[in-house]
Formats: sequence, structure tokens, C-alpha cells
Amino acid sequence: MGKKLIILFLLVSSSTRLLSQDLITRKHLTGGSATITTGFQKNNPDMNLYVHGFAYFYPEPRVSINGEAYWYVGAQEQQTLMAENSTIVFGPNYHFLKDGPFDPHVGLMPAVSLVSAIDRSGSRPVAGKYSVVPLIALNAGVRYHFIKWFNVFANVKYMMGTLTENYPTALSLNEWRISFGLGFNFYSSKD
Amino acid sequence: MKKALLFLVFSIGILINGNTQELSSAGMFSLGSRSTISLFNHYGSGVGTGAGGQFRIQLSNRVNTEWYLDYISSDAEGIVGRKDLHIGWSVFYYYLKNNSTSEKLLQPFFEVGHCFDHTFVNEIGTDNFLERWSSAVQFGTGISFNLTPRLDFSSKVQYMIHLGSDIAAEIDDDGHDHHHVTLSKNSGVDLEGHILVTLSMNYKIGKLWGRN
Repeated sequence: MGKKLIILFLLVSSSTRLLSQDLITRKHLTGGSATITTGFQKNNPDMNLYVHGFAYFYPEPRVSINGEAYWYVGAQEQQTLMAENSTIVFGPNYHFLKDGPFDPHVGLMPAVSLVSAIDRSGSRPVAGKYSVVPLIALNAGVRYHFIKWFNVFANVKYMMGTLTENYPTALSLNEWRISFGLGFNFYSSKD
Repeated sequence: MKKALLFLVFSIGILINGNTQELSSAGMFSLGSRSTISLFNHYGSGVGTGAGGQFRIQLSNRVNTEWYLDYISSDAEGIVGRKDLHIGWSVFYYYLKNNSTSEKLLQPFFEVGHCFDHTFVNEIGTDNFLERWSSAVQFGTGISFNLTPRLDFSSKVQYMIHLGSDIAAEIDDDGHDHHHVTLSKNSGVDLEGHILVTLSMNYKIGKLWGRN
């Protein structure tokens, strides 16, 4: 019983210490997370759903280098235009505030999608062959580092691109992708 | 294995060098990502979008080089598709002497360069397509916004002229909402071109040579 109490005390005190630590600087901050992201296309009556994983590294407080992957998992009503629309994105963000918990940022990033669109013009829907499509991603987001190891984030991306093969006509892939959730800071500098 | 070790040592050297010295221009190595907008092709393609990346090696305070890869997709009237892959290089000249360092907010430049180009043109929704390899030269102007001494946002406009055989696409409309597309490869030199707007973000990693 005594040992259990000591272990419980150590756990509580160490977690309290962890939870009370503030983020001193974003320099060399490294982290990431995964969440569910929704996607909205003008020519698509359905809402696309993605498992969205990302990682970031801040070489300096105002700059982060980001890698992201959107794994397309379907649509809300299963009436989507897309049979596949998974995307990888890579690029830097510029952060407006040098340090502190509030962390708004913007970025312009290249992206590449693996796309298969569903042709519903016939009697039965037919999924086209896979195509690799380049896209432009405009990114805007905010993180709030409420303690050293965690942040909450909200992010909006506007993806721009066109599918020009394996579908009867050119298909706009322009899409808003909205995500939010809990982020994890794995490492931060003490400087 | 030896090559991998050498590369690792080289990379660590760059990073350490970059993190311990103040910035000066010659020898600076930058890495960046780029988004490209293709404004037109001569047979009427619409606005195309592209993704890619580049690295830069600065030769002197006023001369920089960029080595890049672009992959651009566009369409004409929703009927003809076109994809271009560019692999090439450019030389920048920072023409304002007082704004030739990354400590300044703005760095305008002129640019000339060359690339190898793979073009794929198809009639969308059919198996009708043509492709070719060619070479191209590009020239233009742009400006770098130094958001921090190490991070810049560069915006530039280039005119790219393809040297070599051209793929032509003719769209015939029979008046009943049916289209017929004829693709043909023209031999000889055709100064076909397009305007490219490139927006990129670049991070200065460190110096390959020289000291401050």
C-alpha cells in the first residue's frame, strides 16, 4: 500500500511539473500530430474526409518547416467525385509573432496528390486510373502552445490544381481543407 | 555506404557552419519549395498550376544560382490537357547594390536560365496523346522579400521559350457540342513559350565555402 502511494505521489508530482512548464522559445521546436480533416470542393456535393498527419520543425522562432500527409479515407455520404485524393505537402510557414504561446502563421507550399476521380455520367459509376497531380497549397493557421509540450491548432488550406487525364473532362481539384486538434511538441530548446 | 557517410558529414558541416556564423552572401546554400502558375501556352491553355522545389548556391554578393524542378499541369477549354516537367537552372543578378544582402527586406533581381523540359499533351478522356523532350531558356525578373535574414519569399515572372519540336493541339467543334482534337508534332525550332509566375519560400541553411 505504501509503495503504491509513493508511486502515485511521484506520478502526480511529475505530471504536475510537466503540465506547468511553459514554452520559452519556439527555436528548434519540433512536433506534430494527426487529426481528421474535412475537404470541400465546389464541384463535389459530398464532403471529403482525410486522416491528416503532420510534423514541423522551427529552425528559428518565426520560421517552421512542415511536412504533411493527407490520407483520403472517403466521403461523408459516399457520393463523392473522388475515389482517391491523398496528398503530400511540404514547405515553410512564416510565423508572425517571434515567441509566446499564440502562434499565427501563413505559408505557400507545393503539394502532390494521387488522384482517381469517379465518372458518374454512365449507368454505373466508374473510378478512373490513378494520376499524380501537382497542386499549390495556400496555408493559414494558428497554434496556441498552452504548455511546453502541447498546443491546440486550427488550420485552413486552399489547394489548387486540375486533373487532366483519366477523366472525361478537365476536373478542378480546388479544395478547402480544414483541420483542428491537439498538437504535440516533442522537443524544444531551453535557450 | 561511404557515399552516405560523406553526405552525412557534408550535411552536418553545412548545418554547423550555418548555425555558428553570421550571414554573408557568397557560398550560401538555400533550400526551398516553389509553386508555379503557368499563365498561357500558345494554343490557348488556361491557367496551370505546378509544384516543385529548388536549391540555391550564391556565388557572390550580387550573383545567385538556382537549381530547380517544376511539375506543371494545365488544360485548354477542359478538352486538352498538358503537363510540363522542368529541370533546370537560373542565374540571378541583384541589380541594386544597396539591396544585395539578405539583411535588407527587399532584393529585386533579373534572371536568365535554361532547363530541360518534358511535355505531355493529351485529349482529355481519350487515349490520344503526344509527348516530347526538349530544352528551354527562360528570362525574367523578380523580387525576394526577406521575412527573416534566413527565410525569403520570392516572387518572379519568367518567359520560357521552348527550343525544339513543338506539340500542337487543334480543337475542332462540329457545332453539336462534339469536339475533335488533332495533336501533331512540328519538327524544327519553334519558339513556343509560356509565362510562368513562380512563388517560392527559401531557407538559408549555411555556407558551402568562405568565411565572414
